[in-house]
Amino acid sequence: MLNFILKRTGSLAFTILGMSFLMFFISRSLPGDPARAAAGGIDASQEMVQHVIKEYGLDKPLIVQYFIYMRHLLQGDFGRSLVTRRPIIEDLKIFYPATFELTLYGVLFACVVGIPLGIISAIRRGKLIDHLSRVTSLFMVSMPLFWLGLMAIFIFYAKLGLLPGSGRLSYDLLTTRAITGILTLDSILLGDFKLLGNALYHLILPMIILSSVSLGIIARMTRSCMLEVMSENYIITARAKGLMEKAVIMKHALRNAIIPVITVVGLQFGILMGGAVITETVFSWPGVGRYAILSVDNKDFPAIMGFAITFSFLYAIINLIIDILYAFVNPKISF
Amino acid sequence: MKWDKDERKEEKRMERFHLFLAVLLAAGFIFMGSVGLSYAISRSEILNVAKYNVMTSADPHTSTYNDMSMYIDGNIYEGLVTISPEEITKVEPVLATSWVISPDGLTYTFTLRKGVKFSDGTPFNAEAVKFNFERLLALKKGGSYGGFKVIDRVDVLDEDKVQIKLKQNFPFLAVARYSFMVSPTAVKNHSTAEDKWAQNWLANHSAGTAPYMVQDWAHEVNIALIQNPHYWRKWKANQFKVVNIRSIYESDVQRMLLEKGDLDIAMIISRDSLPELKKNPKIWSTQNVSPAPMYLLFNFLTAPTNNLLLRKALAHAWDHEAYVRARGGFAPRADGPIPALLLGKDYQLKNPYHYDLNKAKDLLNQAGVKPGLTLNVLSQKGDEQKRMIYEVFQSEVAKLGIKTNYHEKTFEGMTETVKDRTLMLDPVNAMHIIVLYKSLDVVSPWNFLYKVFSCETHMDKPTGMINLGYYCNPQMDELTKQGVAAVDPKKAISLYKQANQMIMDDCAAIFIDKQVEDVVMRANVGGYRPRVFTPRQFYFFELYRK
Repeated sequence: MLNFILKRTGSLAFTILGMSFLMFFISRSLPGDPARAAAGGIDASQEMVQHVIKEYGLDKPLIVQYFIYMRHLLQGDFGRSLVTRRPIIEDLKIFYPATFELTLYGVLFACVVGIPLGIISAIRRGKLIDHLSRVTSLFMVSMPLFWLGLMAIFIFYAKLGLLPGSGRLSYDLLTTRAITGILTLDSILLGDFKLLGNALYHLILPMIILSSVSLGIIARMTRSCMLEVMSENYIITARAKGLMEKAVIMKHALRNAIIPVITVVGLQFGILMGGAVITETVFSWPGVGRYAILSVDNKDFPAIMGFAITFSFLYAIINLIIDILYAFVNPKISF
Repeated sequence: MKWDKDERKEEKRMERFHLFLAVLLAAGFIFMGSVGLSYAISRSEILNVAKYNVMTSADPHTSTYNDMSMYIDGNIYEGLVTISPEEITKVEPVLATSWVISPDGLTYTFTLRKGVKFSDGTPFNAEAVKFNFERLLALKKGGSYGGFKVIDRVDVLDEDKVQIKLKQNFPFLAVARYSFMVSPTAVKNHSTAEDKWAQNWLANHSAGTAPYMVQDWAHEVNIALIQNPHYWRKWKANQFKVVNIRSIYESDVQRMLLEKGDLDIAMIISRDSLPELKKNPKIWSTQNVSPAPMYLLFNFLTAPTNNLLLRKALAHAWDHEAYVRARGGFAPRADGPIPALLLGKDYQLKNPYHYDLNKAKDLLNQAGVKPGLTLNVLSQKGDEQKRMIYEVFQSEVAKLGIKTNYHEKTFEGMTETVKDRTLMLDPVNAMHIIVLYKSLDVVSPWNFLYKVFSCETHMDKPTGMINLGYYCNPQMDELTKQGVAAVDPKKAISLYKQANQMIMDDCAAIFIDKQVEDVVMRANVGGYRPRVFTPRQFYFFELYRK
């Protein structure tokens, strides 16, 4: 296993290098002048724009800019945002944890609801629960997240007053100095259970909305895998031995059926991390999805690079973790 | 059998575990619901304001006009003067109580307000003013730098008197509104070897003289402002102790929060929602009109728009009534190149280009325009209003046999395109018409005459600003220069009026409409005074809970 991890880490470095090269040159080929936004926008004079260009080294040849960027990157310096003028690393430290937390809970929710739903649908194939599960999954996959999110806020916040309408915390709670930026974790580390409750309270709606597509996919995937596995000979043997049905399903069938589902969960995690921008916009969630969109819109090169490199790294790590999980789920799998 | 008993024990253990989880979950929900809200001070003392765009920096010397006008000006930082809310051409004292302008218009002597302190307790005085201008000029950034780079020197005459000498004549008082004062002590305490002017610290903190100061800045979440304990005006009991500037990106969400009372002021509400909101007795709304104009600028470099007859024909093809209908019934016509209020309360520039397609056809014939002409229109991406202007325009010119192509780019993309003089000279591929909104950020005719219409501000020049149409009339430039140099306001206005008329006679643009901003807030928030020059600006010190 250690060799496997080391090999994957090694190949990760090459992946990041290649991706950084591509992103660097693609982003700079987009039309527009980011220096103007940094210089003060519409009323910035050419003189001010030129000053910013010189300050950020945008007048140097592209290949020189790339090497300068990579040299700084190796020292952990992602540069400074052209728009906010903050260090990119500071921006990412703020926005990544917010998206990570939302995505983590979203995926967890999708698994906690989707996997049992898939199992039940497989066991009760053709019955009412199976049909309801299929319709629900189809609904969740088909409905635009934007509409779902607004409807959820309208019903649960505006009309019923049960859940909050926006943000990660109530605004009267002054912001806690973050340790990790993942509020639920930070509150536990700080022993602040009021903060924990408030953070979880605010997570409910965005987490459910974000997980809606994944939930449908995971439920259907689990159902298909379970149906396939349950027709295998070893399942028939287990039943013939007189094992209780629960043991047949949970110990024998699920363990084999879950492996492709884990792959899907891993992929969904990456997709949700990168695609959470709609949920973040509707729920005013200060996440990296919105940050990435704004960076591209403003041609904020350092921010675009920072986001792309860190996201690639994160995605690779998630896939590595998923691969390692296989070995725990099925001891027969070795590296 | 033994394994059967073990299975049953295992099953019972699982059932107990599931029951425990269910109880824990239920308790969790009850707990979460109970910790929804907990105020350190009462809700009535907190003002919640929504914002929808990125606030780049709290540093007044490096932030954009947008940030300055929406949040900073008068709330976190103050300048030497401000513009009167009621009379756009009147300058009012703030940190300066009076001023004297030399006969040549190049020297301004300000007498400063006594007894003012920054939020960190540092006294405000002439040395602080000199320090701030030095900082601003050294940084060379932000929306205000362009106005202050004409400063030659700043001299301290005594503790409460400062003299500013200019390199050239300039409407300095109009720009002095942005002379935000930062505590020199704060800058020195937070400067580093790499960051001599403490830009990094001031991006997220404040050290001004204004009524509020930044207490906490959670990026893209909330900016919490609290009362400045050293503020020089007296506080009243019902004024807000805390102002939260909250990031709420969606207009529908802002509306729901406003209706529920979790938001006091909404910054973006779609026009469709307004009729419904107006029925709610807990919501108050008004419409403010800023005289800042929207233009359709003509490209003067190339055919066919370098032809006066064609330009006049297109101007006569603009159907403002159709546009008003498309805008929901209210879209006051722009006054001309310069907002009329800047040239006097009773001033009106006659726009001779009324909607008349027959006249337009005649002019096109006189211009020798052949059928099948295609014009390229350049506009800002994602701007619905500009899209609407284009739709109305293209439907009318289509009746004249003219086709149009719509090119949508970010503002930076637009400037890059227009800067390409070779492209703009190409009669086929040039952008013939450019849609531009010019804000009233500097309350002076110079702001429009120079930045949008001067020969010096063509985009491809080092002195380039936003003359996107490459209009150039040296006589107009000369009138503008004389207007700026004139110390007598009446003489200046007379010169500006002549320049204004010249641009209208040259038909440099089609003057579309003024900016209409909808202000929507809870009815229990009082004290709002609209400002003509920034219709959506809020001065939090003026507001109170009724």
